[in-house]
Amino acid sequence: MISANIKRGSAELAILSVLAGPPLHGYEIARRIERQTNGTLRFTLASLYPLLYRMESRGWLRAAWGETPAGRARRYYRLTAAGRKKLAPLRKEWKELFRALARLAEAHHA
Amino acid sequence: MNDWHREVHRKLADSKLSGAEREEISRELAGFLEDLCSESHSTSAGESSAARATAELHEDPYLGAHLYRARQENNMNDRTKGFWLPGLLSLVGTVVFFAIFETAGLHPYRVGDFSSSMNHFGVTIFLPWLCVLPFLGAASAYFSRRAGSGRTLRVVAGLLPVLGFLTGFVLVVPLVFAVNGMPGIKAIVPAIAAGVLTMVVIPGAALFLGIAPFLQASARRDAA
Repeated sequence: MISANIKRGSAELAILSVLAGPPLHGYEIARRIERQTNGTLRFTLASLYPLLYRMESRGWLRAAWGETPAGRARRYYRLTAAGRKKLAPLRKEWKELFRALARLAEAHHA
Repeated sequence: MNDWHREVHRKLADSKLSGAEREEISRELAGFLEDLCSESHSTSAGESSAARATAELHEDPYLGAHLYRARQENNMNDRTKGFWLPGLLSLVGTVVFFAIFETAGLHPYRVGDFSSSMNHFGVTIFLPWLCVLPFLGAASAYFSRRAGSGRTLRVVAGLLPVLGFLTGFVLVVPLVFAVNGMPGIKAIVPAIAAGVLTMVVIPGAALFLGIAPFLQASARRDAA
């Protein structure tokens, strides 16, 4: 069972990573994460929005209403300077965690 | 065709979200469900697109509560970081420096001798203290701006000490008069005027000197 903190941390990293590019609305964020992780990470409406609002509250994201190319109103999220600052150490932490887990798994096999 | 906006609104009806928040969240979540529906439609998923969207909407029975908590964190953080903490900095700094200068024996002096014409009430100038106030006002406005507060909140946070003093006057002066008896109007007006000038107007102006530069540059939220 993955703990809630690890789950939340990985979800935050995923969202910050996809928003390192141009602004995206909620559905685009969910689909882009799903596509880029080959379906390993999947966000539903219920798992995505509380997290987005929380990250917005921490000042990592900023949202503003805009229009899609089809003319539909959507709330677009983008990274703030604080979000960018958060992304680099978070990436490093997760890389280290995965490296450590891989070493542990290999040691167990050996 | 489902009316997702109405369905989300209904789903969030029991939450503690305010009307405006519920409306905005409903619009946003309805957009998500619309996109989900149209994509499922175009990829001809086996499951009906509307059923999939409905399942997503009702996946979390406590969705309204979770969204409310996330939003509350937002409101609380914004208000705390953008107003209360900078205001507290200004307030505590003002009181602490006043006490330090008093303890150090840097006595205030009076300007204008109103003792004959104004029944011994004069305007007292705490010069060293007044010299520190612009820095406290500036620090308060800076932190308030950094937290994304608008101009009004920056000013109010910076001026919190003098607003506190003013409130004190409004509450204390009638109480003093009630206890000691009402003196003549000739004594009341200069007493209040001298007190307000000493503890509200002059320190307020000093604080505002520091706040003013931080009203020019745009804040995070101003730019949004």
